[in-house]
Amino acid sequence: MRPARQDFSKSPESLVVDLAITGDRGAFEELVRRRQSWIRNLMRRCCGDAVLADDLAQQVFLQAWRNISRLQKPGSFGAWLKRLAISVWLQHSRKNDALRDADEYEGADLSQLSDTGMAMDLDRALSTLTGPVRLCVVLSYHERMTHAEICEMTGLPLGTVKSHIRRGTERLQQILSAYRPKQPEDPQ
Amino acid sequence: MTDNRDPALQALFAASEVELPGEAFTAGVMEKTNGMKRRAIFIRLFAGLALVACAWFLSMPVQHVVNLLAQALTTPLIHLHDQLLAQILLPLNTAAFPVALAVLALRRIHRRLFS
Repeated sequence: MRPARQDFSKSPESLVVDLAITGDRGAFEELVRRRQSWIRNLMRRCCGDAVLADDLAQQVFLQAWRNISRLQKPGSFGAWLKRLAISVWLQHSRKNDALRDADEYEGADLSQLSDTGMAMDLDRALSTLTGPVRLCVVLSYHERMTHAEICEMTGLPLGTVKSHIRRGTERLQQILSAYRPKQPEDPQ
Repeated sequence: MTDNRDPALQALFAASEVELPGEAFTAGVMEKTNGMKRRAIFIRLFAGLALVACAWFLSMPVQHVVNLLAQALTTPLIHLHDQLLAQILLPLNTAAFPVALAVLALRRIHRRLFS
């Protein structure tokens, strides 16, 4: 028997995905409700602009709705959605030439660091990285993906992924040094 | 370099992830899916009508061309006076035979070049 619409919130995700695959709009709505925060946060880290991030996240869910009937394993919905999100972000980056507006760390204005929220500071620091470096760093730190997974997901060579993450990490460490835990001072 | 991450940065990323209120966003997405559904229905309807119109307008000319082709391909290349011999050689003595040979030869060349 099909669960009533209000019951979806308590249903296991695989069941809700199963129903969404059959074209149930209520089930898909529940999936959007459950996953929206994750995808919107991921997009915010990728682009650093809340409005654009929500727009891209909306595109992700619209693509998901269009293609969900092709999803073979309901249990892999999360990974499938992440793949869609990365694909949407890569398409957006290519279209808008994300490399063009990326600043170098040296040129970034860091004078107001810590005056705004932590998330904004992080987004601002991320925006100083070039598009591919930012994507690799976000997938590594925000999504906790391994280098091999990032390589598989983005289509970038493993060596490139590693160097992007190393470079991105070094830059973020420099920019966000104010957030690093204070080292105990040397008694001498 | 291994998959090891800087713990301080990792903590910063984790702390920056906030639970975003989703009612307005979800409503926006569902409204767009409604529009997509209407558009899909319209496109299917339009494509169906276009197909019917094409079939209507093109059925006569297409049938005419098919008839002409059938006639041309089955025309004997050499006129033989012996009826029995003409019947026996009919499969080889038509325009279709050299055309079929040419198609087979092109297919073989294509396979040799591209596979």
